[in-house]
Amino acid sequence: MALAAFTEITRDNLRYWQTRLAAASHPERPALEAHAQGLQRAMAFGLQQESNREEALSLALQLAPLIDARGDWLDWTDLFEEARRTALAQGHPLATALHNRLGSLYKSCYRHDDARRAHQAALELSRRSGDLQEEVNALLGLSELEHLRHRYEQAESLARRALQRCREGNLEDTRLAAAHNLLGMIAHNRGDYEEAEKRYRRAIDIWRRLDAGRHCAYALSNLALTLQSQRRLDEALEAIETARPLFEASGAWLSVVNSQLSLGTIHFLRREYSQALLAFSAIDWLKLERLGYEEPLGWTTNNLGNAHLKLGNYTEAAEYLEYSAALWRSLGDGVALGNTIGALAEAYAGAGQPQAALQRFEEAIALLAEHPENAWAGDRKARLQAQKEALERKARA
Amino acid sequence: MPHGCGRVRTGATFIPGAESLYNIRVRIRSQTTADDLYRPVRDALNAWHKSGRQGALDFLEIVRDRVQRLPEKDRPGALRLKTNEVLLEAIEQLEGEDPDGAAILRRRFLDRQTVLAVAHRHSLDKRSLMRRQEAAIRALASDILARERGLRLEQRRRFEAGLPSAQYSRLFGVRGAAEKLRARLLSPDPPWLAALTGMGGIGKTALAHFVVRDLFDELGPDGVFWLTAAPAGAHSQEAHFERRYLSLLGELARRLDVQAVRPEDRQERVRRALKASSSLVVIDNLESEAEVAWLCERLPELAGPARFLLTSRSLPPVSAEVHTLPLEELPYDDAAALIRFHSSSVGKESLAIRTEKDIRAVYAATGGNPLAIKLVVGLATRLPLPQALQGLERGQDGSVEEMYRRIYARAWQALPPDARRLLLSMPLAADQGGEPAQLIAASGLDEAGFWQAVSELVSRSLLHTQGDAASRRYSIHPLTRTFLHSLILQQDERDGSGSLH
Repeated sequence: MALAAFTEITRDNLRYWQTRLAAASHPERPALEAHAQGLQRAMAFGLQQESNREEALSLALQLAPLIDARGDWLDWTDLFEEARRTALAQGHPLATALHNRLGSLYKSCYRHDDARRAHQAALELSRRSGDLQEEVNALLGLSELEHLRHRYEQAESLARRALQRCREGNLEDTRLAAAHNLLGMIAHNRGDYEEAEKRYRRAIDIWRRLDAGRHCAYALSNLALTLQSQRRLDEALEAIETARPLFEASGAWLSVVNSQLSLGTIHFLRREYSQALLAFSAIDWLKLERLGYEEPLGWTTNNLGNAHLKLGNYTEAAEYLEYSAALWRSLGDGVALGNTIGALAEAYAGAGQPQAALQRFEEAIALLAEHPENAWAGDRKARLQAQKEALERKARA
Repeated sequence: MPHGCGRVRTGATFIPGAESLYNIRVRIRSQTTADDLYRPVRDALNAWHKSGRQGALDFLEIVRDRVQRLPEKDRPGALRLKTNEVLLEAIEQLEGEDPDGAAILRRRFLDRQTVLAVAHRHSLDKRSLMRRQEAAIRALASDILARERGLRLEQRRRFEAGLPSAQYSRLFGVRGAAEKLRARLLSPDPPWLAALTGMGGIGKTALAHFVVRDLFDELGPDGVFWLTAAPAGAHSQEAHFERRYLSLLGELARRLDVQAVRPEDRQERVRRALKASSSLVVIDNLESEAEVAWLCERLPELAGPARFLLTSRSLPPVSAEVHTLPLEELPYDDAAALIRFHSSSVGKESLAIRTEKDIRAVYAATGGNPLAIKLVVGLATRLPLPQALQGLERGQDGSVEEMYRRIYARAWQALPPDARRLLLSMPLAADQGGEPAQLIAASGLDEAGFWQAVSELVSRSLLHTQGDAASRRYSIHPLTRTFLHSLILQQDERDGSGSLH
């Protein structure tokens, strides 16, 4: 037991932060970035004191969605790990929820194996304790991890189980929406756009009903991608335009990054390349890099590279695309890498370096060929193949 | 030379070895009058149609700043163009106050009319014209000087905005160290890395701030990048160092306007920019020996002629090419001056420590450690000096850590309950300081009690004020944090019955 007065101070400090987080209106939330160290100290001292553990664990759960929204995961994983250990050691009922939150943090940090272990542990604990909500959370977490590995069959099976458990428990909440959203993503990647659209719209309806703006915005962005794939660009733009204020109102900077990426992509598909470049350039990608957000950084640099490519700025294009490719390599995402290398091939072709271009075309095609389960990868491969053949014909001529 | 003019920021582009120009610059920043500028302005007007440097007002920031903004700043005639621009603006200004004077200058220097022709045009004899012309040039010089001062003031504000707020009102016993550091930072020779080292509380940050703040003229408004090292946090050591280094590069790239997509390209561009500049990068408060060693390996890639100044309790590795400036405890005379000054500043004048005997007693207890002196003097504002010093005698083998432990313990014992309560809340505040709302909530004090406690702790050097007039934050020295942690742990090891009362 620590100094009695300090224990009281730690408790009052924890309550101060709990109240402040609960009261913070969305636009103020980014300001909490300035208080990260204060919050970490509140949690760390609280976890060390027996009488304050409950409050510290509650603060951890309160903070988790905020950390997730602003994406400052790296700074928090160790502390959440400690919170999980503390909760487990005490057999605290919050242990299951902390496993799931930690799983999400690990997933966001690209520590997929750690994330899988955390969600798996949450799944087992929740089944033992009959905690249906955390069981669904664990199933959704595991499904998402399979989806990230492009293992759509396994991802679908887990998401359907989550959906089933929601129905059994009459869970008409954000989990149900998340399950539909996830099934939409899986359908989209398989090229089943009709099913994807149906799922996304159900997720959007539920999240709208729950007034969960940021989540709704994500589903709208996903819907926009599906609509883009069907070349229904006006509808896609409408979805993005609906999502943007929701993202912005959530105060979650990373959400706005995603929205900006979607907006730029729509301009890109409409061949409004300067506007696309403007939208992508509005993203503070150095901040993404500094904070270690490799996936959105990979997309941002890929998109910047593509916009420059279409504007004929081949040197800039190659610079961004090479960086994006390096990120995909480090993340081990073969589909994204194949796509980016394909664009790099186009940049080299545009810059009058046919040999380098052909080499990149071959590399991209080989990478995309490894993912027959991904419909989009298949389309992209076919288009790159055609471009490669055209370049070869030109070279021969 | 008093200020090491070899590193004047403008470099060879604008100062072709003309010492007189340097002297003019020196006078401009201190007591220059419009009279001092009369000749250079007249010469500049005379050279209006010349293409070379002759007569260019290249010692003025208002001219150099405009040249720097030109896309092709090195092209021939750039200096003349911008000198004329400044002169023309001054003439236009003069038109409102003295239209005849402005017209005379235009005709004489811009239109190259003879004295006789202009005198005739203005119905003046030759001598009267010359007098009118001289008065107009003096008015021009006066206007240019006012604008130069305005720009310098704005640049000075920009420069200072990049530095942390000073945590001292006056420094004692630093003249020698300050001169050495200043000379090192202005030396045209390697090594390009300098480290200010010394025990906790010795005043490394204060000295670095004091010296760097005075380098405005040499480094220019954008020539200093001050970065305060954050605590290591939850990351692994190597990952933490890498992240900090990446962040440092990103910040330098942004401020040097040399962005690049890939980190390796960015590093290269930052390196090239720093190679072409004489900027100073300060990395303050490095905690660990390992990080100092890690940085000493990486920074030489970026340094030269740009300099890096590190402040740390740890010495750099012997093998590193770093100029190390160890800060020692204050000698008696300086410590005595600090004791007298601080004692008069924080307590009642009648209670100030003045006698040789008392000063010697404080010195014996604290050595020449400035923070320790301030803490003991703060203590003596509440207790009679003998009681304040009781148990603080520094034995032959007494370590600095032990000295601080005893001083803090005594300071803690002498605090009123509310001040203790607030101080005990401080480990929960961020390094950059806690806001009053958080500290009031955590300490459980009412607002009046809180502000009273703040005042008490600030006067005893146990609390630092940060922020600006509109918003305040309160922080503690790392040594105070260490003491509070040990206090909390100590109680933890006992039975937890520790009380504040």
